[in-house]
Amino acid sequence: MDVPQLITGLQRGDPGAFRYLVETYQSRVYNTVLAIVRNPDEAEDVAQEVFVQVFESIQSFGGDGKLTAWIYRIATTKALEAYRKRHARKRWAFFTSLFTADDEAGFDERLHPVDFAHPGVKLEQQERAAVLFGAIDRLPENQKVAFTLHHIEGLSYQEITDVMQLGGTPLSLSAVESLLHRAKVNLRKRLTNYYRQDN
Amino acid sequence: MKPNQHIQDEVEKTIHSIEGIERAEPTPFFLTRTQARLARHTTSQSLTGWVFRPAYVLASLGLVLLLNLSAVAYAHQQVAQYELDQETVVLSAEWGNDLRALDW
Repeated sequence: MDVPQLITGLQRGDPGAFRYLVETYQSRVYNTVLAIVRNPDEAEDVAQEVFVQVFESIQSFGGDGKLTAWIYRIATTKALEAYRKRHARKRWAFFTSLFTADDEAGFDERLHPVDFAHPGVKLEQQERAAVLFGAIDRLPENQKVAFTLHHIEGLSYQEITDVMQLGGTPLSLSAVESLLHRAKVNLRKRLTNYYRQDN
Repeated sequence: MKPNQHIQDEVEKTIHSIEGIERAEPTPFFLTRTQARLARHTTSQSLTGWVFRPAYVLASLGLVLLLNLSAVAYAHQQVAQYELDQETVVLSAEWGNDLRALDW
């Protein structure tokens, strides 16, 4: 099934087209979402929502744009929404825990756990990668998305411009380059502090 | 090795720790679960979605408006009748006649 056939099939509500959509994109969607939410169960939940939304919104997809970029856009948007919601709940839980005596975990740990192990990382790098993911977690959203799409999903700068938009307008190549550069600078800064404290 | 250099080495090694990362895969039967989710989503939308169709919303608003206008008109009529009755009682008292009785 080529892309136009897939789009037509989805617009007709064809179950075969939906199956093809999920089978083709499930790894990309799940991997992108997992890198942002950092929890496999939540990532799967969000990934399912992404495909449901793609199916339900396909009528509003222009068809002339890039389907893959559009799917990545939905995936990153939903992942960020889930992330914000979880952190709002955690902040509330932390606030209410101030009034109880049995809270043991520190504030930082609750908001930013460092024990996320991405299954795609080589075994010998798991410990370092967990530290890196902890630092990625604290990046501003745009930098986090750009970094995830490039370094974890392997998208090119050009492909990322198709995914990321500002007010409905695709980001420019230089804007994406700038985001990635700032992400690296911020990561280095945070990691330097981390290892300095470690020493 | 100076401590700063050591720290920078650690930082660079960590930054590069995700090189060659492979895509994570969802658990088996992801497709089946997603299809089930879509089916649940579609069913719940069709059961309640009709409530929000424009025709029904407009009809509901129209009905509410009509009821309100009827209630206002009825209340207005009741007030007018009450005032008329009061006026009749006052006039009867003034003139000594029961104006409501026919005078054949």
